[in-house]
Amino acid sequence: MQLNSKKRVVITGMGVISTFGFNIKDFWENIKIGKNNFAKIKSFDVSKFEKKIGGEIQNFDVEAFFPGDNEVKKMGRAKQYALSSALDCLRDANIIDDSNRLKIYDNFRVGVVAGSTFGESPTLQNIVDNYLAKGIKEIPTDLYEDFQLSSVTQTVAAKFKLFGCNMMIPNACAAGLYSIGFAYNCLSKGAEDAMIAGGVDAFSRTGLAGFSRIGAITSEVPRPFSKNRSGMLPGEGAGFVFMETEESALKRNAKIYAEVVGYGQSCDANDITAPDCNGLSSAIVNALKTAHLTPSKISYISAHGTGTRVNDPVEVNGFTHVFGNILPKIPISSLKALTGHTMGAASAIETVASIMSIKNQYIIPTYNFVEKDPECDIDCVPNVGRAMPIDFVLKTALAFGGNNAALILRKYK
Amino acid sequence: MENPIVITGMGVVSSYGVGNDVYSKLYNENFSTIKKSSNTFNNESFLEAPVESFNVEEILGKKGLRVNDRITILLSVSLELLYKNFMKTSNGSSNVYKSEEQSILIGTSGPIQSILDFDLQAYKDPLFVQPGFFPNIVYCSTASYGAIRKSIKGGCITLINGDTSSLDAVIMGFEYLRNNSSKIIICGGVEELLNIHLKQNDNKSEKPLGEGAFVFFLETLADAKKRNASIFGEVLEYSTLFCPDLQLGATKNLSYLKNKVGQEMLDSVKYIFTNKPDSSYFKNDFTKNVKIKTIEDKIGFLGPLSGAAHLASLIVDKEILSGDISLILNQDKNGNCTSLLIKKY
Repeated sequence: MQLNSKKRVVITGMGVISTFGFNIKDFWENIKIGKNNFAKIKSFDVSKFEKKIGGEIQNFDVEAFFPGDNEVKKMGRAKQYALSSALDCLRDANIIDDSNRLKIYDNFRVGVVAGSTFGESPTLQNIVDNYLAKGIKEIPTDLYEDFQLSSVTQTVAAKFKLFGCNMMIPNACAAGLYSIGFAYNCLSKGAEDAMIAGGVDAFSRTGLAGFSRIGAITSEVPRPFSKNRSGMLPGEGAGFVFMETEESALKRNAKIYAEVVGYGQSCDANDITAPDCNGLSSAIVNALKTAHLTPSKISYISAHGTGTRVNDPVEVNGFTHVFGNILPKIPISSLKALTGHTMGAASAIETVASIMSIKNQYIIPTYNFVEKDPECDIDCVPNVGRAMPIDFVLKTALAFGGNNAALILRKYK
Repeated sequence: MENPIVITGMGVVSSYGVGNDVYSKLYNENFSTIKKSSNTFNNESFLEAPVESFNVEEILGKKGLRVNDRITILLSVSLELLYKNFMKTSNGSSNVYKSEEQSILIGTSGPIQSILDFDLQAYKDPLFVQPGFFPNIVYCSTASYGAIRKSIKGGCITLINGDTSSLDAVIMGFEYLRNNSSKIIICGGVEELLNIHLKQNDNKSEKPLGEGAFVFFLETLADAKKRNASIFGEVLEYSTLFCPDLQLGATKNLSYLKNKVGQEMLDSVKYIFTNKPDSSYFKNDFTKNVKIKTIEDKIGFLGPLSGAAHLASLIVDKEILSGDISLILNQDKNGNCTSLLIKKY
């Protein structure tokens, strides 16, 4: 699908909650170092699970973001991540005052859009635990309210009084990118003045059980594009970007990280779990069309790169369809070797990392790489980061249901 | 508008039954399907408006049904009816539009029953959860299965925005067409009743819940004419925002809508379909003769699905004549507010 661009859209703020940090600075410094942060899952009982390791955030305290706010403390973890990441993002954009209220824009012209795969799954676990332990009568009704996926975007909007359009797009593991693409579309045609967009997911019992049973989880660490890769590790977190028109950003003298120049999406309509390279290439082609770019202009690709046997070659085939002979010259890396697969948050967090790559002219490598796979014959920036000129970045995401998205970011000039 | 966007098909599964004709007949007879549930909650019976069982295989065939959950089946049946009755092809798919030219947008609260069932199993024994059912717990699975079934490759979007979800799916589809992002849009919503009735638990006002699926084709008038499609109405304009103060939200929403279409257009509105029929705060923006309509008293409280159900009702409502302008205004209790202006053909 191709979206028409009218106004230039720029990114002027970012926020992230990840096993690699709770703000942009820490996140960037830590992913550059690339320490292994995977650990035994603590948020629920994994004694009956075959796989017990993941990229779980284990030292997060929402009090640090919202001191004394008892309402936020009671919320499910997905909402806590989303709110904290959004707060960091809005502060980074210098758009809110000390009371967390918008200080520049008309509240009704700033929208919220987010994506997720499993939503408020810790609350679901709480519901089920209560149901099994005490019966349905004893399930606190506020848990059901907290479990509603729509409550994530609604809570962000209510907390910061962002009263423009409000959308939750739960397009699985590509959800974050769908949200950023939606915001880009809204802003480029002038439907809103500014938007906060991103993705969030909290560690989930259902996710761990399900991905284990379909054989997608590795027993060691994720090794995207490596010959001996054996799967992904689930993770969690949130990533948000503040997007506005270039005109507005210049008017308020905002720092501009990058420009969004193209977005495309597609649906494989083929298989509910297995990806299809044609769907991905179609999304990339659509993104290039909206950006009015030829493939040779892309400096770097931030891949979906889950590290599963199935995903990585399909993704490489999708890239090959679009980039052909020039593909080996384009560095391609995957952050999931570090963060694990943070589901609906993944493509948003990886967009944040891509923007930092543009800002710092430095590519985060594909860590844990061991040996080249002939089926993934690409320059995956193995294990060592690379300083190089980065002008245009392509960020891709694939998801359950055959949902594909591609976003093109440009160094702001 | 230079190239108006029109509604050219409708597929309905509701507590009135399967199909548009039965919906039209019973809606216009003001028939109510709300009845006492055969289940009980806290040892008390409650009211609901379920879709009664029907022969799914007869409509969908056997393929895929083993792993499809109830909400996916409801949506799939509505899609099948939509294509079969309004695409005018022999194979039930579109041979007018390429797969890449079609996009699907579905509003819902998601496959909650599947998620609950799966987590119950994961709690008891995670080694024995059914892998074939795992995709069903992903929120976008319902629309994705629909896309697979009908080979829709342009885009597949699920929206979960509370009680404006399905209406938001229609307005987003409207925007896709305005941007030339797709040639034809399949949009609407789906909702299911839950076995363990968490919603009933949450539903403090004790409104009887309903379920079903309502989907529509949207395309440009020029394209619709080219393929000699049936035309039910024209989507004129919309407005959407979020405001926890529902009164302020509705006022702002309608003022934005007025900025887009002008006071004269709002003055011409004859009917308002809303999920907040008891709220009087938005009526002042219209002439005294405007008539408020809702469907909750007939087929139950549909939550995220109500916007799409209102659109279907507007289309079949015999009181509403060709050329009449109607407004659908839906609000979620937490603040989402969406309005949509429709001219009936």
